[in-house]
Amino acid sequence: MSEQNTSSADPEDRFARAVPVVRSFLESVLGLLGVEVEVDIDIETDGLHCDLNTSPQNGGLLIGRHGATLDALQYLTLRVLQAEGFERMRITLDVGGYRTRREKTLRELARGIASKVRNSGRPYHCDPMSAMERRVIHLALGEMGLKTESEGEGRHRHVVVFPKRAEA
Amino acid sequence: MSAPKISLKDLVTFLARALVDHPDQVEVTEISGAQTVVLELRVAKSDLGKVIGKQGRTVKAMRAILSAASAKLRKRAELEILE
Repeated sequence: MSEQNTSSADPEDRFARAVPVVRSFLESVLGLLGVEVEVDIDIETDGLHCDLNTSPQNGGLLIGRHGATLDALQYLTLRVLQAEGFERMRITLDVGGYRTRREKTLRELARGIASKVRNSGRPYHCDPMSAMERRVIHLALGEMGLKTESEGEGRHRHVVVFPKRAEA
Repeated sequence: MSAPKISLKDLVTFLARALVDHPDQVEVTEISGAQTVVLELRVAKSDLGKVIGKQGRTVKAMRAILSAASAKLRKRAELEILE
């Protein structure tokens, strides 16, 4: 992880080269799932964001229970890029603004946890979440000045929120 | 939408081939029952890790995609990796 590539390749250039690979993979998988979809890919500062535009009915299928299908598709896209020799980059998939809505819900959850921790003065263990969801919680609570850490392994991994220590 | 033409075998074959170093050695056998479809996946020995993934994450992700596809077919699908 800490190894820095010495090549001067511009990350944006690297992300741009990944676009056709990601598009072709997603269009093929979705085709095999019998889902008609339009894939919009945006190049962002840390990787690619892909919007899958489809009918609401197919959207539900692609999201799956608690986003399970969408998470799976996103994870496989990342693995395929790795198999194709691309360096690590962030890949996010969204269907009909699901991720955005979910992020809003998580931010509201984070606000609730913040006040709970401030009132009790004791650490709070969140429910287990995916890496992406933990990231939202970490960022939101960090902005509110609270210290967070992830604990546990695999599917038990969760965020622990600590009350802020008084600055010396 | 009434008669979706989805081949679970093609889906698994495509996903596996996209992940491995030796796509020519990917073999999928589909065993269809009344309610359940079993898909047996064989890959080159050196590619086993690629289709299983750390803590089985890759195979878990393939199973999630497969269950979305099989839901459309109103069947249950199982994916097994044979060594």
